[in-house]
Amino acid sequence: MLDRKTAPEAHAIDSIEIKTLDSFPLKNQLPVHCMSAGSQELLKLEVILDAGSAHHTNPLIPSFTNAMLQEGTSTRSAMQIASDVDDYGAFLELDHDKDFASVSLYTLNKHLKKTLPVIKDILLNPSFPEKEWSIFRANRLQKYKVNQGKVSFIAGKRFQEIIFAGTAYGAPFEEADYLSITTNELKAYWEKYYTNDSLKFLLCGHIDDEVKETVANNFGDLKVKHPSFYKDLPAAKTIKPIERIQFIEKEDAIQSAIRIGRRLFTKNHNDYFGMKVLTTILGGYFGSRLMSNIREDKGYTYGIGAGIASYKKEGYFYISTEVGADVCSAALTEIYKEIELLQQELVTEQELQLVKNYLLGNLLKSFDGPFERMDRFKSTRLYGLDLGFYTRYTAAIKAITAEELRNLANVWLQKDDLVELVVGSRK
Amino acid sequence: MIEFDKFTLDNGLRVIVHTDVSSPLVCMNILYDVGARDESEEQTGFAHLFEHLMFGGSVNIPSYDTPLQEVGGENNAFTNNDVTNYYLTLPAANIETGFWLESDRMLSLAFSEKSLEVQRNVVIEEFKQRYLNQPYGDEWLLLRPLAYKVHPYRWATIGKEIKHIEDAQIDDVKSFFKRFYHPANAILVVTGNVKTAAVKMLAEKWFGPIPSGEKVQRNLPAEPKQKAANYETVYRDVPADSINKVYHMPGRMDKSYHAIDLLSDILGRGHSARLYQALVKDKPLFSEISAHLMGSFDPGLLVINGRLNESVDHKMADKEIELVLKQLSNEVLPEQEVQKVKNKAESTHVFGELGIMNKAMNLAFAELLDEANMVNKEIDRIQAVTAADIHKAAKEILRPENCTTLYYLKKA
Repeated sequence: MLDRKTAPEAHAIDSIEIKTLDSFPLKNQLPVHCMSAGSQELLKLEVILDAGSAHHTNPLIPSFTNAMLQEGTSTRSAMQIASDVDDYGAFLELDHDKDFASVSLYTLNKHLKKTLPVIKDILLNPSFPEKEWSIFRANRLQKYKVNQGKVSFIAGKRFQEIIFAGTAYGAPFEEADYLSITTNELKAYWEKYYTNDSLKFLLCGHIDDEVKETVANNFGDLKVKHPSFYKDLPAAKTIKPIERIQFIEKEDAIQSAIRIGRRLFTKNHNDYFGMKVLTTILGGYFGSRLMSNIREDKGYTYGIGAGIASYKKEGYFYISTEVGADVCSAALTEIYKEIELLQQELVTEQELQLVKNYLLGNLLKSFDGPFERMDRFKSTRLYGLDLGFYTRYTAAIKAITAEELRNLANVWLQKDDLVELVVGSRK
Repeated sequence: MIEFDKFTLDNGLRVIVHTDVSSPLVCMNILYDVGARDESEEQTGFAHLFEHLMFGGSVNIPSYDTPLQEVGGENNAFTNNDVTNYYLTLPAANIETGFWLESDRMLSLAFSEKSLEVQRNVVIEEFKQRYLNQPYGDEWLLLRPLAYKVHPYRWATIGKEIKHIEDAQIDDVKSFFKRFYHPANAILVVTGNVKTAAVKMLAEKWFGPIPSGEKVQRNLPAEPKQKAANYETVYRDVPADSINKVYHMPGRMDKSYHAIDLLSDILGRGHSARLYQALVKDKPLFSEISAHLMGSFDPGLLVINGRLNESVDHKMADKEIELVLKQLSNEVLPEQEVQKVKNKAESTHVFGELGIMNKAMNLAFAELLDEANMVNKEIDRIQAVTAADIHKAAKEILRPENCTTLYYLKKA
């Protein structure tokens, strides 16, 4: 008779294979990083620049500069850019975060020679045409207004402004900024930050000599003075201290958004790995303390999460959820209760082991596939680290003890240090 | 090309295996042939609520998630109008834990009252978060019953109303399980670092002893042909007016499906599409406009959705949409434009096959619809579509009397 009560034997994850990348410089010394894998003849080419939204005191300017690249060049109209990509079944993705801006091309290998020149053109010759700009700006403003109807958007934006107040990562923006920006500001930003020097190439997928040659033919002859030159962020300003507890009223909201957290540190900090484990226990996976209590026991929310995240020069801790308006204060009480528990009691060996295994399994998954491995490479190299980061992470997960975790909770999660923001209805 | 093996257990469970030794993981995907279309109209939202209860403990295992996390695994699930799909990934060495967990919840659930009570609340919060507490969140709650009069696609997966979720009882949960959750109503796909022989052994061991159930014969009312254009207007607290136009079309397995899919791409996919060029760029009436198919198994909808710029009259803008459609129905499509959408569809398909999880899901859906090997025929089917096929589809589908229009307007 089959024993269905006892779990099959479990096998621990001993090591995670971390494949290094094949990196080479073009003849002008611009770096190309390659992750070759997969039988399907497809490719992603991503060009990354240190031109994220924190690089300007008005964070909309970097973001709009990036997005407007595809709205016209000196030789192509917006329509031509769209057609030149679409005709070959390729996809263009313009993206940015606080540190970086990127332009990505997804294409089948057989069309690379036709599609690659398009991203070269939009990076090097954008024209920021007025006609497209006025349409673009009106559309972005409308999206912003739509987002203002979402408690989660209001909370997410304000939370960053509070915890990073004064620093480049906390620069606020508002509706009026949409109307005051001019194309001259975008051009000026482009000239300063989209220089040949700052181009970095990441190539992922089915890479053969022909692919490398096509990249070299397009970008190898550009004039470059200082490859990977980094321009520092705007300096921090001193600001008045901000109240720990913040509330933004959103009339008639039937759910309230809660954000709790604080400024923390980057991936280089000694406590980074420990805090990864601690915040996973608190709210980083489906079986976490916050999910078990606030969703699976009380039914206050569809989801709640906690974690740490980092930028190039800063990092933060967050708890994030949307809860029924009527149970908002009960949910807050339970959240603080869970933090206090981590400060007072030791995590049991069983729970700790589960979280360790979960994190290792997750890490294994995060290296499964060329695109995933490229993401891991990005999340180290762009932050001044190497892939050895993950070897150290694996070792740290395996070694950490319940005592160390309790200590971290006491050092980093003191209630007085945590900002609490609620967006919702007062009723 | 996805290579696979396929076999069926005596109890009717279909099993498909795709081996990929480049991955250190395995993925298990179990597709149950039940969705919101199988609900009674007095108890909508039940298939989705039930999906939540599948995580509330099974007959021999009190917690589903804990043992999976303990071996480094992760899982999730989704429900739509057609199916309910569960998937997990875990390190290849721990594959048997996946078989143990999935087979036990196919055998029987714990049917805990506490779990039902909590998940009712969780789903109600989900309802609020996704459909009520955001701008335009209820668009589809409104559109479905306008477009469908008799077919159960007339309600959304989340349900018609919160009350249906509140009213769910444990006896309903038991009978739903009995009817739909058994080997003959499921497809198991295993992908990743595992060989077919090993899967066969594990499937026989863990799923083999589960009693077979009776496959439910679906007998859903067919939606009658729409005879007249249908309009509805609502006012909401939103910053911009929105127009939705939905056109009836055949189901996923109809031979015209790919032609209609390409038609929707010509109209509204990407910045070179006709609606975007005409109505966002040339005449800036909309801030965004796009078109897509619902992709449902039974006869579905071609959807056009646009958000208007400030102070543009919605009726005038609607006329402009219809002009673009009319022009498309009246002309011979340029070969280059047809090739463009085919290329896009082809690369979407190739990129959509990356990773063991995508492969598992694609195989499971194909097997349910027809046969797993359908995944390997899609590109040929796309390439076989001609300009004439798309033209014919446009003539048939983009007729005003085949359309339901929802004006979703901002309150004065």
